[in-house]
Amino acid sequence: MAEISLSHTFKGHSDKCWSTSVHKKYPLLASVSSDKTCRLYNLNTKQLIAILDDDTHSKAVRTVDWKPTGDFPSLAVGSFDSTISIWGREDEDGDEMEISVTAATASGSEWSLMAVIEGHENEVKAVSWSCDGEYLASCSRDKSVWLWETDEANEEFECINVIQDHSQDVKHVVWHPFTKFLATSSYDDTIRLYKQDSYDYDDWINVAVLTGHQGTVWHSDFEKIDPDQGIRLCSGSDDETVRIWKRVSGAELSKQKNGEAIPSVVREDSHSDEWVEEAMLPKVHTGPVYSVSWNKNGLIASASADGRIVVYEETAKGVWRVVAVKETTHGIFEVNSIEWWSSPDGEMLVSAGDDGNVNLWSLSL
Amino acid sequence: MSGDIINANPTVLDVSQLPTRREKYTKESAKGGQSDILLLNNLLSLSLLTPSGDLNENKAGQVTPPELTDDETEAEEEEAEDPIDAQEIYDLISSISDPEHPLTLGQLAVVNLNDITVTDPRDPTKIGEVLIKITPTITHCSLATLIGLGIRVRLERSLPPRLRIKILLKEGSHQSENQVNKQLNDKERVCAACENEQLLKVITHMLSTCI
Amino acid sequence: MAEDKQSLIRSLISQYIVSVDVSDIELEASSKSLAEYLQSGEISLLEFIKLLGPHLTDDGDKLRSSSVSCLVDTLRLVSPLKRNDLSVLTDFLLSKLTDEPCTLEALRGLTILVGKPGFQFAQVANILNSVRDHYDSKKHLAKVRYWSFELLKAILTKFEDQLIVALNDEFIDSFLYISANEKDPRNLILSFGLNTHISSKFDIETKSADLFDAAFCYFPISFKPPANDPYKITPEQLKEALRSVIAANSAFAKDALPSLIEKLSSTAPSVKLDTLETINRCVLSYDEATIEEYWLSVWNSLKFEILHAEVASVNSMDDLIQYYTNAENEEEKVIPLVLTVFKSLGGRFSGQNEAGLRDYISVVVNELGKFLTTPDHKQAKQSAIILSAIASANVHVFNLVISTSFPFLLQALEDDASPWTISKQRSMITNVSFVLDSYDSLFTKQSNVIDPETNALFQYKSEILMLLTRSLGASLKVEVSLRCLAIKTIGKIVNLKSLLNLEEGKLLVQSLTEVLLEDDNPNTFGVAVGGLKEVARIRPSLIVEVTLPQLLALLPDEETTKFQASSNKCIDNETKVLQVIAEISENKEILDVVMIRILSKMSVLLKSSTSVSDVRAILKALETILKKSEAFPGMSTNDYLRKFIPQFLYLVLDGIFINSSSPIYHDNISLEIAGTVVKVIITGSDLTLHQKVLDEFMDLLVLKKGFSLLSKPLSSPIDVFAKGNESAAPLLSKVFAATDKATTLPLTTTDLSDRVISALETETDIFTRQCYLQILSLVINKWFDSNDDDYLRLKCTSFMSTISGSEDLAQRSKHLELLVWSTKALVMKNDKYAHEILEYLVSLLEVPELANVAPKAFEILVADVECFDAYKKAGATSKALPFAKKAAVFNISTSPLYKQRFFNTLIPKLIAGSNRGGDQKRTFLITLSLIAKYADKAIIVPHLEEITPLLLQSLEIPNDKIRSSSLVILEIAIAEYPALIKKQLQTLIPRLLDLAQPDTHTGEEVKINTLKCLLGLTINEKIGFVALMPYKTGVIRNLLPTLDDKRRSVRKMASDCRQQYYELAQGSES
Repeated sequence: MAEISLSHTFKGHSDKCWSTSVHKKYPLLASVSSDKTCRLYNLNTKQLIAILDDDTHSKAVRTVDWKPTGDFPSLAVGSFDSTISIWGREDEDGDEMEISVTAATASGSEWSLMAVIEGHENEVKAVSWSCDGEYLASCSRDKSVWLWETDEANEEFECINVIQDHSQDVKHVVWHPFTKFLATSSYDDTIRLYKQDSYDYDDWINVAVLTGHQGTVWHSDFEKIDPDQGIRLCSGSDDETVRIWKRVSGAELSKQKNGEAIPSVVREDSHSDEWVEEAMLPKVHTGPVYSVSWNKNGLIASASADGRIVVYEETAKGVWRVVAVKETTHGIFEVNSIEWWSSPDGEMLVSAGDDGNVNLWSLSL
Repeated sequence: MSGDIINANPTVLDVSQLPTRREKYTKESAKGGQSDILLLNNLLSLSLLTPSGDLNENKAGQVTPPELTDDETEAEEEEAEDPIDAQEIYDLISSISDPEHPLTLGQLAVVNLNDITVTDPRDPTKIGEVLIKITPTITHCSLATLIGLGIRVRLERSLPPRLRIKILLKEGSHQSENQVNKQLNDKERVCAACENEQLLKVITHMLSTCI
Repeated sequence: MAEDKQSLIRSLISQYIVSVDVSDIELEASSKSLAEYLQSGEISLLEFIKLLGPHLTDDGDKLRSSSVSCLVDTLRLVSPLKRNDLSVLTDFLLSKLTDEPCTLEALRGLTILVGKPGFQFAQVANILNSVRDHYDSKKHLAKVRYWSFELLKAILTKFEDQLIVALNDEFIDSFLYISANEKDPRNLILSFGLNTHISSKFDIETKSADLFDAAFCYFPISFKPPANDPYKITPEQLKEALRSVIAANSAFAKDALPSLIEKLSSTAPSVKLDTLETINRCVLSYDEATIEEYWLSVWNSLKFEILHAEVASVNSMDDLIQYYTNAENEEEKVIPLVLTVFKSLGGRFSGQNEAGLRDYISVVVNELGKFLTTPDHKQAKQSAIILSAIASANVHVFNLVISTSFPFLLQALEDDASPWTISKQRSMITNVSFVLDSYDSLFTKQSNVIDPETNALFQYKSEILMLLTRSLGASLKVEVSLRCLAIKTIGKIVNLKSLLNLEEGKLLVQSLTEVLLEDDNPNTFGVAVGGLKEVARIRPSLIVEVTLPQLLALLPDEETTKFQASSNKCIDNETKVLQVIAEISENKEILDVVMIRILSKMSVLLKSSTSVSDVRAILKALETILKKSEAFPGMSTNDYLRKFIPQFLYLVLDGIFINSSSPIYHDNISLEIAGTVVKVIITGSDLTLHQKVLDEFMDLLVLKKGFSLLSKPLSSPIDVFAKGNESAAPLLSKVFAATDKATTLPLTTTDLSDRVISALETETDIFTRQCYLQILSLVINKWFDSNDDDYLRLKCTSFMSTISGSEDLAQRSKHLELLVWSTKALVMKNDKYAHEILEYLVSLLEVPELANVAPKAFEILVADVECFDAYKKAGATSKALPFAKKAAVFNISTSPLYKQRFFNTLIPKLIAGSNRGGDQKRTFLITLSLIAKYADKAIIVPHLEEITPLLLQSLEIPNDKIRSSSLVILEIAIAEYPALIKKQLQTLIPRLLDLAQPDTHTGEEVKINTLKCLLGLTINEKIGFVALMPYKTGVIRNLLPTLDDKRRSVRKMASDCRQQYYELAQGSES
């Protein structure tokens, strides 16, 4: 059995901390909270870099996601006030050369509001950047998922599509790490999967509806492997379970090669994939599972209202076992989100809880 | 809450019939022995000498009035522990007033003592649960959600966070039981609701009868 | 007439004229002297008018009107006037009616003339005609029109009878003429008054429509009094006056009632209420024929106001009426009014009009009957309420309503067709209970004669009793609400005057008693006790005969020396049984029985080897009941001195000293309570008996002079100051505390004091010491006089020398105790010597070795010790009012303001000391916080400014007692001194939050007081939410742990506190 041990606690939020985001490139950590602020930390030095709070948001901030691309770090923040704000480091006199990690994470450095995106009718529940940073997806209690096309400088945000397939709140949206493939989870207990139409890039095809969860699906995450080797998704739900879903057949997807998209050679018109529930992970949680995360080594972590963090590993295809359980990770408070961070010294976990803290955990396998 | 009253003529319980902790009849006799001790203490509290004070031996320590040492605060440590029980929860929420009647949820029997279950590990580091089943005044009462929300807010403000609050409609008490239950226990929705000025006003009004 | 006189008159006239609108005094003066000349006949009226003449016809309006006014004012003061003078003047004034500037004075003059003796009715026609022909209200201001009404009023009052005979129509026409489109409120009052008078007295057959319209055109009348209305006319007066008109004559009915009923549809509640009031007035004053004609339409148009109302959940008509009359919402006030109308209707059919009444009742009852037959019909309760209202009109109506409606009310009892549900029973009882209220108001409250033969309710008694006993007997214990309702109703019916005979009363009380013994649902149980209390208040004999024996039977007696455990967990031990007995002992009749019976229980307990706690319980019960009896009107305990004390004291003393096997052998607490019992009896007895009482107790407890006080002698005599007898000390201190200070001790004060002091020298038991000290203090306070000064000073000085001189801390504290208790006695009577000693005591605070004892000493000085509780009686001798008729304190010498004096001298000293810093700072702080809680707000407030900073410091001292007393004062400061507190918030709030944390080693009381302070901040709007907002989240967050405190009370306070802070802004918005 592996050991999960606390390595650091980022205090500061004065209310529930809802979710976190770790930057793909830099050791940057962002956390958002009901206290209406977003805090940025340097994961190496554990230093507070900035607090993004100039009354941009009038209500709780629910979701945050770093843009994976761009010379300068930037991120999207979604709030219950129905708006999304885009923030970035001031571009030092526009020089093109990639900035150094130190510059990116320099504390007290100037972070400025680049754009505020309005469109949703009410609470924004999740935002997510596509792997190439070209699209931003957002979802809301208004049952819709919006897709925004943007540019390098985050100046333009054009809504290219509004998806309204879910019958209830859309709780979460996430992109596949390597392809234009999208998963949305909802209060209607289902997960829906979308791919970009190969002919009309602005069109998005609902290729599958995953049913099986007995309650709200709070969160989902894709397996971090090349889509050619198959696509899998794990999801956490109010029914206290974590499930693995597998794509067993479907059209080939356009994938990401050095930053630009090439349309697939083989043209299929199959507008639907076939997906199956491959596994239900061993049940440990005794409360809603609010968050799941799949790391590049194939480990899955889940966090729940019961205060537990659980790590699972796959022993054989579709066969999973629990490798670690940590109780009361945020005291007696609920845990709202869990996320992997590939730190210099191995895989670590970042959790956020109702106590307003963000905890950094090391995992000794 | 303008417009027509949804349930114009609810059955109302007399306040004197609502369940209470009847200190009057139980407590006294329960600590009967103690009350005698209290009586004695009151008599002795004004003495400048310690009860043990044998005046023939004169040690400084003995004439030190007990009140001014810290023994007493030690004694306080021994004080009994009152568990958080159903009655306590009932007292917290029965005083909430109904959004459309000038009556409390207790009087309207929306909340009932027997429909409250407390699972408390009695340990500040352990998580427990409070389960409340509410009975709307009529099965199509569109205010059920609002009432439930009021109860949740009241409890989230009053109970230690280690107690998870679960609010359900009593079986068969409402047409759309499941939807309401799902809403009432959806963390995000509740939080969002608590940021909604209009809603908050109504809830403020509902809770105004609680203190 | 002599020149000079003429000129004199002239000057008076001109003096008058120039003073018009200038000085009323002048006007009065000059007209007065003018009148005197006329009265005395020095000048004739003719001469006077001659001299006035030129002005009366002057072209200047002002001059003209002034001169007329001069004439009028003068005439006002002259009487009698010659008959023909009167007619001349009348004609003159009538001629002036058309002269607009003079119209007012003309009307006023006429009014005055009419009032004069000798004024002829013959003139009236003339006046009326010229008023109609020459006076035009439209041309004149309100103040002019006013006099037109006054004129008619004067005529009416003087010639009413002649008018009716001779000028009926003329007068009515004149009235209609002048009152047309009047708007001024003062004039309207007059107008309505006239109309009422006319309409009720005159023959208005032909004019009724006009008279009615003349008034009704104003309905509903509303008027907002101007800020400085000189006439102070209220809207109510106007409404009332108008109502009187409308109700004045049955002839109006055909117009009035339909239009009023129509007005009921108005949406404005105020109109609706006014209309109902008016309808009721009409119903009360129109003649029977009219009522008979209109009751149906009134009923039909009003009934739904009740039937469709959502009636509040109350238990009696009184509560119902009360609830709705005090309702904020105007709309709801309609309900009681409608009920009144229905009642009035019932009352309007006199004996000879049986038929009319029967119609009314039968229509109503048949209509409501159909609801009543299904008791839980949603309009049944409303129906019952209506019936109750009507039935309470008078005995005749009552009988009719009851006999016709009860068959419906009780029908459900018979028909087995519909299932007999709980809700049916509940509703039926509610309905019946409402109707019973009409009996209550007619026969219990208004004490009409009750004749079982004719009174209709009697024939339904058995059914009602059956309904009640059955709901109570048959229903399951879980049917709490039904059972509680049944119990309440039983309580109600038992107390209905002479409705139930003894047997029935017993039956019901028995059923309540059974609930008491068997129903273990705390609510039902509570209600049952309540019900029995009700009965006890009005029919104590039932309690004595039925309930008491069964309760007492639970307690041990000769045969069964054990407690008869009851199945009911609400009453499963002696203490609870005794509590109930105490609760239902609502008057002396019951008390007498209880005392004696409990006494015998006590003797049994004392013989048998019961636990000490049982005896204590019994004693406690006696104490509670007696304390309660102090509130009984005209309560006197005189007879207990003989009937109770001797046996009681024997039992106690024997048990405590003599009989070593007794459960209470040497039990201080038992004697303490027993002492209190004795105390209450003594204070409750006449002062004239006190000397005897005192002597007897002294004989028994001090002087060893036999046992005359006891029912039988003890085996050995007692001297409380002798070794082995100490335990009797509390008894003596209570007696001393209770008796009249005007009594004299059977031995010298100094002798007695010496005995006490010497006893204290050797006594080591803390409890006994306290009693001795109290005895000493009482003696000094009550019986010491100036002759004892030297003795007192001598003693005190010796105490001081030991306190300051001795090396032995025990000795020092012991003598400090003696000194303090003596001083306490003096402080209370504001003895100057006390203040000398006070100086000395303050100086002790500087003595390091006494640092722990000295502060306590001050607490003793101010502590409210039970033995110094003051009791008042009429005729008690007191310095303030020697021959006091009204109650004065008799049992101790106390000056009303002694505490204030004490604190005002002491607090500054302590503050100074606390500020001086150094080692003794803490000592002063402690003293301050220890005594401050004994001062009332009024005394503390002036010192708050200096004290508060010190309090914040004493919060740092890790001692609960000090902290909580500091917090108590702090709470006052928060309420009384917002400005000061506002400055401190920054330090105060965090400090308080620390103390509130569960982990900190502070006790329940401290935490509660802390939270009270935090809560107090939000309540005082002088501090305001703006100032608190910055701390809002802080407080809310930091109190989170407190929500998990061990003590429920703390958790409750914490959650209340947080709630307050959550709502900070919200509250202020609204």
